[in-house]
Amino acid sequence: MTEKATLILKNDVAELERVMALISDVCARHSIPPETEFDLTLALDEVITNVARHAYPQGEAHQFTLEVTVSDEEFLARVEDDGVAFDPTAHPAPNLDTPLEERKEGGLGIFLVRQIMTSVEYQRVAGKNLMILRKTLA
Amino acid sequence: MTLSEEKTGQVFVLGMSGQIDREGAKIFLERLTHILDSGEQYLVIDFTDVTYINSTGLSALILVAKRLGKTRGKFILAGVIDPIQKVLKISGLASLFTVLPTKAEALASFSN
Repeated sequence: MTEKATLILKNDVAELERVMALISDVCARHSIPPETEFDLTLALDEVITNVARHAYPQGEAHQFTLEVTVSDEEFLARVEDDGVAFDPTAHPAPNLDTPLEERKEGGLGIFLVRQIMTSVEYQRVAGKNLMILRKTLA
Repeated sequence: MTLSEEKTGQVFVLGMSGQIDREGAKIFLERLTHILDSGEQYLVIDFTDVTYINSTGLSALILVAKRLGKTRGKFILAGVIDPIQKVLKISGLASLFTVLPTKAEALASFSN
């Protein structure tokens, strides 16, 4: 069974609630194990937060799209926004060997997404960012 | 997210339950900042009932660890569930933080 769901989101982090509810619902319907649900929740949390916070100038109201497709084999999320160009696949990874006192507090979000998903693709098409996240389901 | 607190000798135990998401991380950091401001140096952060953490929560932990490092204090994370252990490992924090299986072991570690 393949299921597809689309959310039109405002650039407001409060929208995360709807995203988390969608992930929880599709994971329950597809009997996705809790460890995989954790990874999917974390990846979408980080990506949606990033778009809501950084894609658009502060104070401007915009909308962007999350489309989730789940089959027995794969979870796929497409996040499309018309905000400022941002390529998460080119985002520098934090230096994990840095001693604690020199370790930066931020910069982990996108790195985590790239590590926990099977693949992260990015395209800039017609003035839009398109991010495609995939996770193979066993 | 709900918090609980207790003091055992020199060790302050902060227990949490629920998700350290955007809102949870804010509450978590505010509480920890207050605890450190009041002079606590040795903390057990009990993660037994924490089911989720995002990068904002990890940032809060780094911030607290750095602050405690300056005063030779320390925290131990106790009872971390497997998916959070994995996130700590991926982000290189598992080797920077002390993580023990239970609150009891964390408390015992401070008394040694």
